[in-house]
Amino acid sequence: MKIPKHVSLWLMAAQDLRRYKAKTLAIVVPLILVMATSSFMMFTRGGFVKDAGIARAFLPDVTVQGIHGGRVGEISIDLKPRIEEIAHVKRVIPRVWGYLPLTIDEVDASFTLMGLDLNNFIPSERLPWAIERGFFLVPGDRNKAVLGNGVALSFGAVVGDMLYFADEDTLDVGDTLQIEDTLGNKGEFEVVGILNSDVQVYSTDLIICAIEDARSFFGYAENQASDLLVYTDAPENADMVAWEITRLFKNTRVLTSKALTDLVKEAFGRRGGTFQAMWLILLVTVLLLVWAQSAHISVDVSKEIGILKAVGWQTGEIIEIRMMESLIMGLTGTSIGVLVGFVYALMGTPGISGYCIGCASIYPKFPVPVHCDLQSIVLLFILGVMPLMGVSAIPAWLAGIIDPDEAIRS
Amino acid sequence: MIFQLIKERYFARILFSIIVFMALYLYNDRISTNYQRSRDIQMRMAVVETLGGPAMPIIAQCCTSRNLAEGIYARRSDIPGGFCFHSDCDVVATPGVLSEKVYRLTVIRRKP
Repeated sequence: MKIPKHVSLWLMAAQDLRRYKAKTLAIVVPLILVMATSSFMMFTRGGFVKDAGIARAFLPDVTVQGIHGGRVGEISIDLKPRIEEIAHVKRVIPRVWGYLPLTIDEVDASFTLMGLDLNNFIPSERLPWAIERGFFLVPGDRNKAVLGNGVALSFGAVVGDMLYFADEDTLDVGDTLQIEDTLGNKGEFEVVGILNSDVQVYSTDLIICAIEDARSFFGYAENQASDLLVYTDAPENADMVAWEITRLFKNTRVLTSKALTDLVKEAFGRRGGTFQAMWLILLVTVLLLVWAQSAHISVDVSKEIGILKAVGWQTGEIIEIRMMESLIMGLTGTSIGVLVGFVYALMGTPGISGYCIGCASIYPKFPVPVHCDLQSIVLLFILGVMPLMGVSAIPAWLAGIIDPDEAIRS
Repeated sequence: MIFQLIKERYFARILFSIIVFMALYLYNDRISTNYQRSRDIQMRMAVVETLGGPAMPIIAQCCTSRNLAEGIYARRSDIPGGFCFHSDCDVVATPGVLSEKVYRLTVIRRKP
């Protein structure tokens, strides 16, 4: 097998594609669209999955919730010392959180109020980086809140404003906010800090306050919490501790950090799945187009093949040149499509971001993590090039077996 | 012959786009999405660590149960439709719960 011969065939295939520009573009442009659709979804999903993978190291090893009549409910803090007695358990932190269904500018939305035990929580040393204005809560703070960027922008709040929950019908966006949720919960918080836009993906709708304030707001009893976060001495002991908690305490819902990260992958896999179905339809359309274009050999091309065969070209060489044409179109369309998809994902998928990330219209737009791994790239190239080659095989063979005498005379 | 191939426009374009793409990939993988190098990721993880959970609004926002620990169907069944404001709610994901795997059903036959 001589390489120069194949190089010559490649050059000739490229020349053919240039000569028949309209036909080439008719295949390459839809292919770019197909591959861009597939790649931006893959890269956006990859971003969330990678973030979830990194986050696993920072999550509590086990999260314990209470179950009442088969439904998730409050959990008693009385379990905390008993869980702490389990071997390998390092720390147990209670947390109180809940939802604030609101209507802002006639758009239904929901914010989350999260109460942290300020005397017993894990403030990351890098947390100050995430604060855009003001400060994070410190032990002893009461009726103070740190807002997610989405909450702050929605209400137009700034540090030092009072955030007052009152009747939602009288909501007045301004420095002082009056909101009351549908269950009649009320509260009053001074905004001490606002998280920056870089962490919006985890905090855009958050109102973070002291656990006592959250407890008071949602009407929890003194010994109740939404969940208990259990930290073990080593991540490999998480499953053992989880099983032990399940064995010791009934009516509890025990979640490991793996379950939470798997959930992110599952959810985004399904979002991606819808786009993959759309992408598959588009790809089939392109393949049908390729088939139609390849199977129809014009009189000019037929004569050209006839002349080539008359001067000594073999059937295999004709087939190879036709296959190379498909390969060039596949590589070109896939390369450009993947690049377009990558750039589109980096731009935050404008136009369809609402569906891509499932974000409510009330929250201001925020950047999503984007990640492309080698596996995705290889998969995209296989999906972009191989079907094109496959669907071109029979038309290439049909072109290769053209009788030269008949072709030239036609 | 190889130089001729490199000069060839189609080959050069494909080669160029693949090289650019690989450069983007390397930048993306090694720098922009690497915890050690990316300040953005370090900030995001600081929030996750402090809150004790990922609390992604984008996952379950469509039924307002943004906490990953809570299954969407479970939330909806509390008050049917009461917490879902969004028409495009189509993501249903529930975590694999350890405790739900622990069950036992024993049938005790009536003795004749």
